[in-house]
Amino acid sequence: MTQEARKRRIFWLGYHKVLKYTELKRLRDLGFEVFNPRYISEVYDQSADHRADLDQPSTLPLEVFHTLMQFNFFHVRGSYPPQIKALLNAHFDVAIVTINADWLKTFLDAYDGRVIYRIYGQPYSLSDHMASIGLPKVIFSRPDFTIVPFSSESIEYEHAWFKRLCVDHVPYQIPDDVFGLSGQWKQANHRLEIAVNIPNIENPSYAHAYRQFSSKFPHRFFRIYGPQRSVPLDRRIVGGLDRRAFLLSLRESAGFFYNYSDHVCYLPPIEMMEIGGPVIYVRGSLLSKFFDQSPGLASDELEAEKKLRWLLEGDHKFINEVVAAQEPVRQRYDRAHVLPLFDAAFVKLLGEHHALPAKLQDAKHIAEQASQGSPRQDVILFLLHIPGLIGRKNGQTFAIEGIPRVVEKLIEVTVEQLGSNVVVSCMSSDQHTYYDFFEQHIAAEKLSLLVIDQDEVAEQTEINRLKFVEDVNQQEHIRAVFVPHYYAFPESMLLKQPLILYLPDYFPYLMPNHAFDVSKEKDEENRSIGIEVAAKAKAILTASAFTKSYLPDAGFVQTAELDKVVVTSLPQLGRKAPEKVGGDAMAQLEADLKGNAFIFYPTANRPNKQLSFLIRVFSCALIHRPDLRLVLTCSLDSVPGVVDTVNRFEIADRITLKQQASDEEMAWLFTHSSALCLTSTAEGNFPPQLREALFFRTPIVATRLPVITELLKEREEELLLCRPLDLVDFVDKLQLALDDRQSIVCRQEGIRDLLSNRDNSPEFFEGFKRALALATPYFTREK
Amino acid sequence: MRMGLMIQELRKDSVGAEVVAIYDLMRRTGHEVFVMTATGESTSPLPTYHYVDARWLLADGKDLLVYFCCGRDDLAVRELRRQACRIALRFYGMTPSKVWAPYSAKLTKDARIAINQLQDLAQLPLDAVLCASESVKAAFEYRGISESDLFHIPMFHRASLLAASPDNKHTLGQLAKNSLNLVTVGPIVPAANLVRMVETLAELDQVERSAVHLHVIGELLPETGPYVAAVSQQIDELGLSDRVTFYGDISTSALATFYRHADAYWSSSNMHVYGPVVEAMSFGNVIISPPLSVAKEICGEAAVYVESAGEEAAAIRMLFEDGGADALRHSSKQNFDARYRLSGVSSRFTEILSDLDRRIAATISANDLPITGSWFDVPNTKEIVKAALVLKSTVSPRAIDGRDRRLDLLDWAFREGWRSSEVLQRLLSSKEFAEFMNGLQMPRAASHLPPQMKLAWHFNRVAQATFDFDEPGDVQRYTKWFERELMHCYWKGAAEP
Repeated sequence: MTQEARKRRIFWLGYHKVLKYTELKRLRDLGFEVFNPRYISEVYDQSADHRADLDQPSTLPLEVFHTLMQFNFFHVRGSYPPQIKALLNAHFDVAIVTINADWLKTFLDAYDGRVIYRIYGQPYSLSDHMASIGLPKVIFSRPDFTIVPFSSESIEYEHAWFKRLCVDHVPYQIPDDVFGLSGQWKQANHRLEIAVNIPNIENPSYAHAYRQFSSKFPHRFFRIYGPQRSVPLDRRIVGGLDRRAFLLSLRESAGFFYNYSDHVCYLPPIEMMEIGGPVIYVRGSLLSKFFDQSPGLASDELEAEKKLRWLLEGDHKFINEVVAAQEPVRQRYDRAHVLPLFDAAFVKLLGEHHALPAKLQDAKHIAEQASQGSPRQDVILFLLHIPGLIGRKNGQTFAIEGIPRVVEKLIEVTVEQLGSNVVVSCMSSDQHTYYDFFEQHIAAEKLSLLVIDQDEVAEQTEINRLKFVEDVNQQEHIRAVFVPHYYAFPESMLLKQPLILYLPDYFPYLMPNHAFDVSKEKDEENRSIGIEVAAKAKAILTASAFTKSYLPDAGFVQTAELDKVVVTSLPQLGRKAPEKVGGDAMAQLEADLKGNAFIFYPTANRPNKQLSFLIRVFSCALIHRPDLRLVLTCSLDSVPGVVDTVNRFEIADRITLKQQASDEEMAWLFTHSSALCLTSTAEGNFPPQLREALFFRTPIVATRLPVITELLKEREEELLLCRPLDLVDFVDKLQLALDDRQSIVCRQEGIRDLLSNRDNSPEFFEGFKRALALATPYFTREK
Repeated sequence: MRMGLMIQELRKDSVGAEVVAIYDLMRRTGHEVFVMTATGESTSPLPTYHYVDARWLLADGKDLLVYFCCGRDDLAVRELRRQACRIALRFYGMTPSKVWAPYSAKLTKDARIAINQLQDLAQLPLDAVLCASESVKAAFEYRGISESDLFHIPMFHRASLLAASPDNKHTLGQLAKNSLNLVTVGPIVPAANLVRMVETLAELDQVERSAVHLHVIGELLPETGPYVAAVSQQIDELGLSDRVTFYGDISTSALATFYRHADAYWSSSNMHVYGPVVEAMSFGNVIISPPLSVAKEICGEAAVYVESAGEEAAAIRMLFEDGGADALRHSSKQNFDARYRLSGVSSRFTEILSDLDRRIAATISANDLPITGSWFDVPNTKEIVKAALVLKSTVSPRAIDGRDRRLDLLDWAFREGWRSSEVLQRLLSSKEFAEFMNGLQMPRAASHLPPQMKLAWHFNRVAQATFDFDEPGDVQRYTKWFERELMHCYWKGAAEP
């Protein structure tokens, strides 16, 4: 047989007992020769089909066939032996790897040809896992690679680079044997049973699901299906049945309860839908995302119990509503719907002349662009190589509250208003998060990343930071370096480029009796670094005239050099409007806060923030409002005494710490909090939390700080401002906010208007431009 | 009729035997019966449900749930309050907490709480309390249950099953080693008073002692370890270790062999005198028992009643005499035949059920119902209750017996009744009622809830039983539940049209 005449030969790496008889079979029906290795791993998987398909149609030489059949391709440690690699490359045109990213990695290491990664949804971020095992680099270096997800909802939380590698989603079908029972549920006699699927309770993940389910639903009307290796004492557990018996059991059940709230959709509920039976499901699961609003949704265990009872009682009206609402979901997995889409997509993907998807080129381009450290003219380097400055949750990236948000704004201003290019430094562990966060700028070829390898050995990471200095010093096109923190980047002292230091305030000077870091000694060490960096800086950007006024006394500048300190006003930070807050983030926060009223103070824990005092205020407020919670965004132990205060009042269980809150979460917290309670006694500029609280219409109770009253002047009375550290004053005003939120919000509406009319963005931009001009002429001269 | 049999733990003891017997009786007479336990599991082969299943298994007002009250059971108290069906309690009496005091602080506390829970149980809308003896009725009379709701019915037992069981050879061998075999049966708990029995054995002289053997049969519960240890130590110290044997749980044939061939059934128990004593009588055993009123009621002239270790020793000595106990054996068997044959107990049970069924149909004019009892300080109580009753026109004569029935009536008035009654609307719109709503005390975590939600929580017993606000998240769960179930219909306050 000539090469042309031979069928395309596909290596299909999978063992799932559904997929082998749906997708694998279909590929063969489409005329491809598909080789499927046998599952001979010792790892137990309840979904694995252990039957070796020795009779599979194959034109492989017999010896090759047997060699491949005897090799374990699943859960392999290390790489395949050279002989296997050679066979794969010699005999296969394309490979399809299903489900597991670890198998994918091993396979990519062995096989050079086109690889299609077929995925069906997973309870964790697949792209995070792929990044953690170094797959993106491998993938971007390959000529031909594609991901084929089964639904757009299943990749919602993945990284942008991952999404770019995906072709449009291709649905998958439930097994053929279900269709023989399509729509038969209505005709069956139903037992007083609700079917549930929890297989393999020995597996920690399913054990957790089982425990959660049983604690909320001890009812005996459930029948728990799914193969088990060992069975706890629970008569509800039916265990694994053969397919026919299982499907008939579904048909005879009064309904199906889908108990999972993680981001997967197992097939049994869909099979129940195909059989025509009603499915009740909980919030948060991938299945729930397939519905808009549905009568089958149970928002808590009480509603689930009620709806399941309706099913058991045979409430026809309710059952009909549920079944009607699930029709579009059933169709997604219907063979008649899936096959034409599957055929079209895979014939194209597996064809000989298949062109790479445009998005793969985009993904590669972004990766290349991001990592170029491009030899372009006149760029500003922003130092951001501290882990955790950019967060990632539910597929969204965000700058964490504080300095990172200011830097985000500055980069935006640099790229969009100054029209200049930017390089951002980052640690290798954050690389993919930074890709996503700066995606737009990278795609527009305005931003690239300088990645510093993070090593398990801390000293090696330090050495890498010094190598980074060497790198930067060699790059002539880096015209200026923005240092966003006075002591976090000590290596900036060694850079030969002009520095701009961001120094919004320096509280150790204002509160000399307090330690701001772990000790006064460490404060002193930080200060000396800061003084060195400030001395080297050509410009210092600060956020208020007040800060500028004390910087000479604090030792950061000589009085004669005061001109290099540029004052600018911070604009509104934080990007999301409350209506954009996603359902998942909201549901998670609701779950964390259990629906209680709460007061909020998003801030780092520093002595000037007076969190011990805040905790006293909160403890007093609890007397009136015992349901109240306090939400903070910091760690309590970074300032001595705070934890002691919490323990003294025994309120640890009333405090929720939401560290590294995303924009979405911050918006939700502001919108839903009963009051912002700002107890700080010293601020360098108008507190950004007040701007956000006004924006989100959160009642404000705050210390009467000069930086606030100077700005508000005679209108200060429109906010609930308190004498510094005056317990009674704070408690009384907090009480007002708790009792009558609406009128307090109305009362501060005028201030909201005042500040939103005063758009600080131009002023902020001007300030930055002036600082930049002091550092280097490259960016501000007429072009 | 559908019937639920609700028991905390279905064990192989005499209460467990009673549950199985009732299950069997009801099934045989064509009823649907469900056994429910606190875990949904049991060691019995019967299909077992969880307490929480009762709400859907017995959703009809005519269904009957029988709760077997055996000790502290928080979950049962909570679940019983959430039921829409009729409720009956099966009651055997309670072990006083002081009996546990020397052995376990936890069990002492549990026993105390169990006794306190009787008050909660008495406030349920009970249709009947089925007392295992006349003498335990007082516990519920004292808690306000009317005489007409208190029924005496002896315990169902395993006597027929035991009588049909052949002798166990091994047990026969055990018995053959001794001249005089004394048997006691029941869980090994302080109320069994084994300490006294050991003291009695010590009272016997050396010759008597060497002839006597006490066979202790009953489950060793993990929580009674300290008690068992104390008894074992006492036995060792008194040199009686070869005179007393603990058997734990044994087979039916072994138990039958003990009953059949023992010289006497001996109980020093303060409490546990029902099932085993009746079973022993079915074999014509001599019964040695303290003179408790419950024992006298059950055994009549079939027992020797003894108050002290000395008297017990004398009773045992009597057994050595030829023919000394023949009369007792005779009356023991006679007593069983006359009063405790299973057919008689079953008939009595069926008779009570019929009586309860007849009551469902009985109604009186709402105007004839005297408005008595405590009404939770609701202002203008009489007028509100009357206005609510008028809407119902005829009611059960027991419509306002007990706290929960009174709550149910008011809950109905606040949830549905007010829509159809201008009088109710006027009364509920009064300033006093608004103040009452505002001033309702809630658990601390829920004290901020609006008056409508407070009112619903106070008067809707399902809400009260479901949300105790002890757990984080209860406020949110209650709020969501209230919004779904009650907010649209519950009395809000004077602003209502």
